[in-house]
Amino acid sequence: MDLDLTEEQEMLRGTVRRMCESLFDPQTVRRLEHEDDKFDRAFWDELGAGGICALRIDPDHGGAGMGALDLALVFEEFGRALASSPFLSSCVLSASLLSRIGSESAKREWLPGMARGEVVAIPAWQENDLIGDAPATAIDPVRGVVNGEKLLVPFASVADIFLVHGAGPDGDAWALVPADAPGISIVAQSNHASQPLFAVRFDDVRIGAAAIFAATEVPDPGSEAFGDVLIAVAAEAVGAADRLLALTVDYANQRKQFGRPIANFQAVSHPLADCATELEGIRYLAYQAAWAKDGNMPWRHLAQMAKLQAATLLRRLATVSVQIHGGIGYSIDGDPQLFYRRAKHHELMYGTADDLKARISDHIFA
Amino acid sequence: MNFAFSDEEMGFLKDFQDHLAQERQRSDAAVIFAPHRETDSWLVDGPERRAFMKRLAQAGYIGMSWARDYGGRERPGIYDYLLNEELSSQGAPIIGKGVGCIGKTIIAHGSDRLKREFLPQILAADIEFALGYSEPGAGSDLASLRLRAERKGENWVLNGQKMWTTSAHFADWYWVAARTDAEAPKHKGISVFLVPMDHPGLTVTEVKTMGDHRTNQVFFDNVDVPGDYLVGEENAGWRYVCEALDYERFALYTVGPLLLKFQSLVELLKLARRGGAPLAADPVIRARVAELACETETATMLQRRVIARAIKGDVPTVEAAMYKLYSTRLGRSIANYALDCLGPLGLLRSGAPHAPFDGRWEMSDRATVVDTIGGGSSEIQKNIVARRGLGLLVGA
Repeated sequence: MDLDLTEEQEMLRGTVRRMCESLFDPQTVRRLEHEDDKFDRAFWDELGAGGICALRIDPDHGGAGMGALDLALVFEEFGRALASSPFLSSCVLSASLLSRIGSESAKREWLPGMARGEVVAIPAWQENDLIGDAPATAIDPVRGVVNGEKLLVPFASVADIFLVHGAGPDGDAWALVPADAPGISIVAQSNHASQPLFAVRFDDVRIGAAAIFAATEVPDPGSEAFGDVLIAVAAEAVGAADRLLALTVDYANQRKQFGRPIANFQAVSHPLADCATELEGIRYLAYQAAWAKDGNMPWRHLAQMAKLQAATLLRRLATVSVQIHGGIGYSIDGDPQLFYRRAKHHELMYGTADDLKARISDHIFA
Repeated sequence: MNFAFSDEEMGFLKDFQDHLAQERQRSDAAVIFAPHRETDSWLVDGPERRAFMKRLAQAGYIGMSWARDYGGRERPGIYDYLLNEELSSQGAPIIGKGVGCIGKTIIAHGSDRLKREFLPQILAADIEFALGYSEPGAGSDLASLRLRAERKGENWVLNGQKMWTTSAHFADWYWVAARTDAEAPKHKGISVFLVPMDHPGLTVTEVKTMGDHRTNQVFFDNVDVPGDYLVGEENAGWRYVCEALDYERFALYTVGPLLLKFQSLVELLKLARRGGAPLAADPVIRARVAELACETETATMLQRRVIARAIKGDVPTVEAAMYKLYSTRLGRSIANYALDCLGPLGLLRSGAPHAPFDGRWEMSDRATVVDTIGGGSSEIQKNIVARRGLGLLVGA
């Protein structure tokens, strides 16, 4: 029993924290919300140059082959700074998908560039699940053609390739689609947390049969490829909660009403104590999931619990923080609203609460 | 980072589990292993349980972390924890305050005479203690306690009242905090005494609780205590009371009973059927159980933080407050939800015909109430987290 980080892990955390602090200050967060691409090139280049993008890519394909726990530490720092980048899409989910489903030549072609941050590979798998159940995107492995529309595709406007999920004649398939292929159109989707989300249309996009793979991995939080995503997103929510808690504590100590700091009122301090308690438990829930994955122990159930708990806590803390900040919390000039909107994004993306609860209970009653 | 126990620790635990498996073969095992007694299952409150503890002592399990000079084995505190985790998981009495805060306070601050008299008896599991801190007017504000201790020649004379002394009706000795200097600031006028529980000046009366747990109030009527039975220094008692967390940092914070409670809920939902299907098939119930599973795992993490901090030799004040706050609330939630799932039949008490699971959950819902009140209420824990964990400028 030892819950400390190793020296190397402390160094990794310190490195990423310094990158975030120097390149991703609150002004950057706010500026990006109003840009079209919502992409900070300088930060991304630094992640690539610093070897961070290579973290979870295997050494045979230009990666660093580091652990899920290292990944969790990196995302905790991203969360703390609200630093956004294509890391989750490209270096985590696409890398994981491609490693599992891709041909050796596809891996050799793309993974080294992804590990350097020079290639942005974006998975495109979500559709409008409120109107249909089967993916409407059609992948024709014989002609090598993709047709359909994907929604909520992160960082699509800066993508170099897409990993598109769709229906082939013999079941689901994934297609590697270069972003500059003719027939692709990309439209920004305005959204709750002002995140870089896009609708991507594929009209008779020709890619060739070699770029199409049978879908042994489905895009859902029960799959192997999503394991790292659950851990990363949980850790990101933990980091965001950590930062939000600290700034709310500062505010409660400084803000005076009725002649004393509002922290004096237990109606203010006790909800924060509750959130702090949950946060510390959930932080280690995420670490434990990563530790289990690194040690080849059963991890899926733990990762699902970590993502559910972390996103739920971030949302609750954001609600408390906005309330404690009062009018400033509602104002666009205050920081709490940045966290409040991102908290909902965290809850709904990569496994909703209902979805995760169903999986968790399946495991319990199995 | 490593969330697992070492091979050596696991081997020790395995040996201890074997010992308990033998114990479970005995004819009196049902009295000794009784998780349905909830918080009371920790007490050494009957002859069978006393004999059980003596057998533990004979097998060398009492005083693991004490220094060899005092008859201990000088094992790291984690071994005390592993013992109590296993004992409490099985609903057996735990190695309690004698080996813990009382024995360790005597070792740290007591006179040679107190050490000679008490330490061997504690190690042999010959004596049980009752803890006298709370009073009618001193609950969360414990340092305002008013039980008077006045010097009279070589003796002290104690007058006043204690409240919520759980073990008073079966213990042998009373470890009691009293005010020895009424003029000093409230934290600086308290001393700790050892009083034989059968002292004629003590009157123990039962306080019934809705959880079927017996607790007591104890009246002191000119209770004379020889000067030798003042523990440590006069007026240093508050320090000793506060140090107790340091001494109990491993042994008090077990998670086993909570895991057992959650597992029992899962079993209930698999076994109980309504409308021809097990309750576990209901998607609404499954979703709620998933939440409780997450919270149980989160509680386990908070408990691991206490242990990990303690292993490093630190006093896990904030970690312990967080764990107590979170786990006690969760225990109540699980009991409450079990009743919700059982529906109206869940109201039936143990012994009533048709009572599901012999009223176990009906009892649990009443008995877990004390968990968020005793041993520092949830509000006190939140104050500790707010002030010492977060640095919030809280009032009290």
